[in-house]
Amino acid sequence: MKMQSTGLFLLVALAAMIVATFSARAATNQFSYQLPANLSLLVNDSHFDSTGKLQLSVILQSTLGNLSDLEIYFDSSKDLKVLTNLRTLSSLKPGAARKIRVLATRTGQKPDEIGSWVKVGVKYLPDYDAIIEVASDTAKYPDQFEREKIQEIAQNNAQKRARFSEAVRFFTDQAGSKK
Amino acid sequence: MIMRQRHGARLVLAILFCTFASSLFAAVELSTTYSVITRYGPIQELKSAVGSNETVVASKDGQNAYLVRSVRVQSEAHLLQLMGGNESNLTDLQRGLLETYRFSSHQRFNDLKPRYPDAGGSIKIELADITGYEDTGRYPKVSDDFWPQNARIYRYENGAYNIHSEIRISGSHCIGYGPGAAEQMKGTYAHEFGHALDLTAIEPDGYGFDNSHYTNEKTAPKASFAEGFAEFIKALFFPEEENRTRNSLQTVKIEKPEGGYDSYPIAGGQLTGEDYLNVEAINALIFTRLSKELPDGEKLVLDSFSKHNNRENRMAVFLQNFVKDYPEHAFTAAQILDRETFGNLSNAQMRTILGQSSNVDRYLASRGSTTGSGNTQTVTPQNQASPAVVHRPGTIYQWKDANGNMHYTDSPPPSGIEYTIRRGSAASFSGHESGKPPSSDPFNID
Repeated sequence: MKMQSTGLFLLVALAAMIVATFSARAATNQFSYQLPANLSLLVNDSHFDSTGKLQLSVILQSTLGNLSDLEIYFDSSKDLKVLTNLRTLSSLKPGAARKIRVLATRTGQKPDEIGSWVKVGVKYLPDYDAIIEVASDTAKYPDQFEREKIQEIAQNNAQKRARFSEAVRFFTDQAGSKK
Repeated sequence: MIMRQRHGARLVLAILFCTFASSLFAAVELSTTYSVITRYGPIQELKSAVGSNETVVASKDGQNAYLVRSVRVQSEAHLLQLMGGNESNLTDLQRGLLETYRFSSHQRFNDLKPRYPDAGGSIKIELADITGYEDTGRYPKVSDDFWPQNARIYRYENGAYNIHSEIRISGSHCIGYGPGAAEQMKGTYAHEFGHALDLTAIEPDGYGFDNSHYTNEKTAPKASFAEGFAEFIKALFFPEEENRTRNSLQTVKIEKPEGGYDSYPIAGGQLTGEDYLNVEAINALIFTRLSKELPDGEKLVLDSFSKHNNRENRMAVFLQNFVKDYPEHAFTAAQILDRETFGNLSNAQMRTILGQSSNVDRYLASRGSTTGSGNTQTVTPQNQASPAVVHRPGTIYQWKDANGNMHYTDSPPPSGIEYTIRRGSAASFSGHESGKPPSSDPFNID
């Protein structure tokens, strides 16, 4: 009897779970063009060494035109302190890769609410002409109206000589893996 | 004893009144979650690595997935701390998330919240941080996987189904925009918020064969209504959107079963009758013009929308309800419908959409007999946008000012500015509300 009522209860609970939540179709993607990335940031090596320090190796590469006035900075969660100093690069030519080694030690504090992490960020001036040229490519961006939107964005950035800001954020619980 | 009973009855009445009043004015609960990708890899590998506050988001490539860690946001300072703590070191897309968070507390959203269609529901905003995963060479489906959206969730709670909305903003549609991403992301939030207010159950194949839609695409009636309404909500915050939307209507896109699109002049014969209302840009413009041109129009449009909001929403039904709700504005509603459908609806089609109303009749009488003959002309697709849309008599000058803003005027632009001539019969014969100067309507040709 007890078995039967437990079974019935489980059956009802299962049925309730099935009907309790369902989602309607989300409105689908509104078409929009994206522009190609200007910069590639790849963590190609990550490990804690024998002294407990985190070592990262980050490859920096231009993926569109000649990037200039690059400022490479580091941030971390409060359980880590990055020992590597801020770097600058006057330019990064297409195809030319740079490797940055990042060293971080533990501070003894607890990780952040979101976890334990190191951020390698780059602020730079993109190759505006190269972006505008790509944005004007009618083969890559055939829809005139949508193409005009990205051209406008590219031209606005060029007029303002806007600095771009990109980063890679490495969570230390994946140390040992590539990202 | 009687006094006590009366006192008790008053108390119950007061409680009931308070409950009723609070339900009338209750704004939907809104919460924000910050989520960040911590890892990418084969789906099976990540499934075995998932932690307590993490979820595995499968990629559309069918093989890989993202490990996503989420935390509920308590305040702007908290969000900033979750993103790294230093505002000057935010990436362009992180700045977009911060700006979107600030934007979500705009007073106008607070004013819209009571229009959420379920007092027991909620809106959850997910600010998805894709920092480090923007490279589509390495993460080929990242844009699709984190594309902004509003998902409607029906949850059985306390004996009834409540409607919850989950809005995701990530900036994945703005990759490569640099600092220009933030403004786009705010606009997208307004658009998705518009979807959250709307109960329309979009047709299963409402957007056609692909999983995407253009603002000038002919889609299904409910899909085009939902998207048009969302664009209207966006235009409340970004008025410049009206010109952009209008500019997109140089052509209409029709999806081909074998994939891809054909583009036709909007009045080229591919759209007839109510088909015009299956284009989201046209619907957005109808909402926007009603809102702008009627006294207190925004409130009227939103009140009528909220009153009749249901799963079967579509523009023709909205307009008919609007005319019933505000018969005194039927003339303007007819005028706007006529203009935004380029004068291609017949009088009978106009009546079918708008319903019986003396003001509709008055408008149709002023319209003349040469309009709305329907399209019989067949036009071959033009994959490049048409330089000019051929309407019927009447001239509209389309030109861009020095700031790149598109204008539509009934007189030529200042000398030296290039323009395109657009013609339309609706304009030449349509009437005006008395006392309203013709020149106040840029689409009117007198």
